[in-house]
Amino acid sequence: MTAGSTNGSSTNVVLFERPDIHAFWTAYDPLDMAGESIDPLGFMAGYISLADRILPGFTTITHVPRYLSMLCLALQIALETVGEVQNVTNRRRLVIEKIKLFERAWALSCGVVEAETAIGSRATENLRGIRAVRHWLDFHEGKDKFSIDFSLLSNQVRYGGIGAYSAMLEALHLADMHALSLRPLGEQLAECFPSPAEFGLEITHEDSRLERAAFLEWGRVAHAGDLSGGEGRILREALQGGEEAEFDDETRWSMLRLMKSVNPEGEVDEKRLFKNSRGSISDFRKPENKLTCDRIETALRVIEPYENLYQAALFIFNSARMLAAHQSSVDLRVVLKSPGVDQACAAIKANSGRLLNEYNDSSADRASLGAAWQSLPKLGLVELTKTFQSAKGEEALLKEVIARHLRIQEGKFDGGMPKGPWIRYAPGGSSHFALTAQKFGIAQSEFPKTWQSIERHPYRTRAASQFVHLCKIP
Amino acid sequence: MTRAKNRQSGTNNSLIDWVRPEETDGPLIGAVLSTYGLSLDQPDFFGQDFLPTMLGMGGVRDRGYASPVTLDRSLAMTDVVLICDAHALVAGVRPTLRVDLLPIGSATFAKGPEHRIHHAKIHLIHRQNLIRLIVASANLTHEGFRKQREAAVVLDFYEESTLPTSILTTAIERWTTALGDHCDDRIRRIFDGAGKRASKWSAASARQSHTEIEFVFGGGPIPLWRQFVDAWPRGESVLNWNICSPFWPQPGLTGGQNPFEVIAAGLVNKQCALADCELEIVACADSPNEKALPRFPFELVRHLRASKTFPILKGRILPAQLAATEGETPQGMAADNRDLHAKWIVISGPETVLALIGSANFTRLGLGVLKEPTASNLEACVLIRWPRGKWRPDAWRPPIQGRSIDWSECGEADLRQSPPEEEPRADWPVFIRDVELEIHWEKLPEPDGDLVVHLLPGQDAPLFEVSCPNSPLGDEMEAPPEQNQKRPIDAVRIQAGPHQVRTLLARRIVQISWDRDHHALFPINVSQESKTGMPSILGAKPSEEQLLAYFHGRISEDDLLERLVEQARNQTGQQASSVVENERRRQMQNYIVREFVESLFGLVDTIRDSARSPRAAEQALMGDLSPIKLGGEVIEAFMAGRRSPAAAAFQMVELIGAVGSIQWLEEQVKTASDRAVYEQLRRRALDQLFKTFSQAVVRENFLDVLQDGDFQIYVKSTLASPLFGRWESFVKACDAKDKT
Repeated sequence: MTAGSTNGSSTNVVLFERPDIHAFWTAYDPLDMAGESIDPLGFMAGYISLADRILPGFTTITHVPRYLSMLCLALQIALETVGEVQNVTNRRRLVIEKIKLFERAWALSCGVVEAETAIGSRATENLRGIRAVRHWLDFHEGKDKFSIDFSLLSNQVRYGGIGAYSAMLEALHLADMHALSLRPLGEQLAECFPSPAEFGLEITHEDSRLERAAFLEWGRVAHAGDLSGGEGRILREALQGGEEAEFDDETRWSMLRLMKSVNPEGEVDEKRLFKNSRGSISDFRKPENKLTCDRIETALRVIEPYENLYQAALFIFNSARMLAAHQSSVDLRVVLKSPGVDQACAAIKANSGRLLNEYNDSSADRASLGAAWQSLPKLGLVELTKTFQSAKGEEALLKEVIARHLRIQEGKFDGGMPKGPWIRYAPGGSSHFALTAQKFGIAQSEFPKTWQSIERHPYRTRAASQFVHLCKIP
Repeated sequence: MTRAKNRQSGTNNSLIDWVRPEETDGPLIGAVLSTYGLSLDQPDFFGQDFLPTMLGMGGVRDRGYASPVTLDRSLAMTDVVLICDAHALVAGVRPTLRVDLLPIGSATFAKGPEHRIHHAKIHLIHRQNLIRLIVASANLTHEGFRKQREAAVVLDFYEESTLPTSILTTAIERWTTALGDHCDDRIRRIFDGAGKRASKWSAASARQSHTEIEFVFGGGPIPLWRQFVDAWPRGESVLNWNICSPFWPQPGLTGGQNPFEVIAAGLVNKQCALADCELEIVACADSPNEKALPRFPFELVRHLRASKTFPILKGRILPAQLAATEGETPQGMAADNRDLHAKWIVISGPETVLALIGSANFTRLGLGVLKEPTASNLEACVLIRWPRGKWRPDAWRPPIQGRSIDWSECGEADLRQSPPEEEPRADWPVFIRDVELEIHWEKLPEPDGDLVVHLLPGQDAPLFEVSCPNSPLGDEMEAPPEQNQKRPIDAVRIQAGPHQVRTLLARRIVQISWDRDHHALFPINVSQESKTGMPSILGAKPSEEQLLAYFHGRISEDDLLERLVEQARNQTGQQASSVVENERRRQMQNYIVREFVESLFGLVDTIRDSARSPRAAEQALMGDLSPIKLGGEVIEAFMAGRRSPAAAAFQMVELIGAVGSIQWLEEQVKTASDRAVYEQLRRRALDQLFKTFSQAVVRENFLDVLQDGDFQIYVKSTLASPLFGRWESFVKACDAKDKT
């Protein structure tokens, strides 16, 4: 008998292969959407409305300023190529097809730069569809020419640059993506982006076979990790809203500048960044940005207890799931004795009070919390904090957390049918509960030790930092 | 368009990638999917990952969920049937009604061999330029497609494919036979479509050399183990016997032989020596570390070592690595456990290698080692036979971590008990094949329908009741007296009122109660005829103005659907019937009719362009964004007093003329048989238009318009002669009806 590994970590993936016959071991293909994103306690919508109060127009995936200029030029060229088409639907389809071609070509040029220059992975950082780009380049390894006829993403419109950056193009007044037309700032930005035609690349037809060397040269000046001075200038103007500036634009600009002042190197984590921002905002506030600073300050004051409350409540809920993972039912008191739960309960108490105070303070001037002022009560979160505050004892708190989960799951629908909860009370009372399915359990090894270790919602500052850095925001 | 030969998809062996289309594959025409387990909730793998991926819309991998409306619109253009074991549906969750669902009853309540477990995982995906057959060990679950260690075989058929079409047609024939009475018209239609399509493709000159491949199914009169043994050359000795399975036969349960013994005996009977054969078994590991032991029943080892009918003495048992290896884990992802779920058997001799890969566990039920083989699981596998050449047994091993256990020396402590084979208990009405909802969409303003319960032929069905779960009207849906009298019938028809139709469309299940204390939630299907009229969004139908804007090209389909979703949310439809709104619309008549005329070109173009598949054309002709729906809106406007009889009659004639004038494009409708299919669709659409038209004839002023001389001249100049003939008959019939 032999102990230990007999096959190391090597993996034979192909069992049998002939043309048109493939037998294989399936790959491990986990989803990057963590289970937590399913939002069992219903905090997601509140977080989004709060994030909109500090960085409107950004999302958690808009990291690459160059996508904006690339898409502006892609749209400009697409409109020129397609010309006049009477039928709106046909026109939209044709224009989108051309933008998709442009995006694929640009992504390939970034991929070539990554593979062949010292710029390396910076050229493709946060590039959407990078796996397909690398596959395509591997597939054409050693060839001087290749086409752009490949599948960048399974649904390029939805998950590629168009889907990820359309809202931002609109928010920054660069394009009207509904009508597929460029605004004046978008036209200017398009002019600043290096044109593939200057490098001999004809990218309006997918079957054109194009020179690898031309991709390389274009990519050197147009890759995803860089931004020219001209583009930076236009984007700085766009981030402020240009001539069409609105309050959202001014807020965004103030927040970016505040980030720059408290975190010039873009290195601190989001929690600390918010803390530093709250501490520095008084000095940062000037008569011309007073309103936007007030708005940001209010949001930041609410965000902190909101996130703490979320982390603590989820910690308790997940502790329950962990304990129930291998038992038919669990006594609520056992959960309360679980490590860290007492501290999480204390955090819920403290932060629900803080959140309620901050929310009530903001009520004096509803505009300071804007849509979030309406959405938090609508989502039942204000009521929840009140319930947490009035709960007598830790067991009552735990029951309120479970009740919140049950309410949230009831409100979720799948094809007209309510979704089931992950846990439920055992028959005959509410002192014991059980998982509704084993898959909702959590392994002990995966479980954090304290409520502070539960991951917070990302408030888009990572993406914004990239803009601060590349657009050289003062 | 032909497909590129060098495919990108699947190169990383992610099973879901093999479901994803490439642009050159063309649109999806139809798919038959089959599984044992099904994940419909938390996460809804089938609805949110598998289906969007198969339709090329991107699943959750692409950071987002496909909207159910978009998914349903795409599914409306194609035919998708899902066959699954009943246990997966007992919770009463059913995927979208756009997918036909055929449950096969569990064996737990079986009274005979016809009620076996459906364990096959075989998928036929028919796209315009590619037909793909996938046989795998993976269920249609997140774990199956993304996590567990599974084995899969993919075969591609297309113009100039190296595979002969006979492999596909034989697979379809055998699959049809294996399904028996469960194979209904829906499945046959997809199978026929794929078979016909493949028969038109010419094969490449370079054929597969020296490789024999065939699809085999378990659950029939010839058990899988027998088909496997039969495929081995008579007289050739066996040098290696490798088996991979998560489940193993429990010794002594039935007292009969086990798969090891019957396969060995079968080979010996073919004069194949096993004396030098080395056995290698890959089983699940009991833990994710280097001390892991394989999960394999020691009692079985002891039994086989002592057995006179099992001559193999050498071998080892290996634990498949439980944790994902570093090399397997994609960058940035957390490593997780990967349970072994692959099932394959390989035997090799000096000259030949034979492999059986698919859904069958190495158990009695899986391989059919039963006195009555037809009581075994319905399984699907691929048998591949090829010359040994450079084949090495270790090439088929998954990563191994833990102790390698010697077959001849091991003791009880060296092995861990293997889990029992999946045998869920499910209360299931095995006598029902299908519950189908027929909806009379032409009934305005709200359709009613019939619920048709199809019984499995030859079954002695007990008394049963059908009701809408949690519906106060449940009693109204009891099976009618004929059924209660236990006459030998194939189907029971139950009338459903508009409210019940609405409820059924929302709940997608009915409750079946039988033998007093047995109840099950059974999924319904919408009949093929009725499917075309199904709304994309329950609770919101497009208004006439919206349909005109759509055909005119002023609003895209996506934007229209978005508005309808919003409409359903706000229930603005209620406002539409208000008196004020009625008056507003009446005043807009001239404007609307002008819009109508201008939109007709777009309407004809939209339908003509949809002829990429019969299902897509059917949807364009009769779906919820179609001339039929527009005609319904026109007649409703007339009945509500918002449209003059002359205007409504004019619009209906124009619609009939538009549908009659569509010229199918030759590049899409290539053959005479294709053309016949599309013409049949046109006839159905015209029938429905005339039926809708006839609802207005009850109003005297409408009939007056139809009989007006000037109007008749206009109609004659608008409709082509055969259609004008039909028009005349229609008017005469209306007239006769009026007089009686």
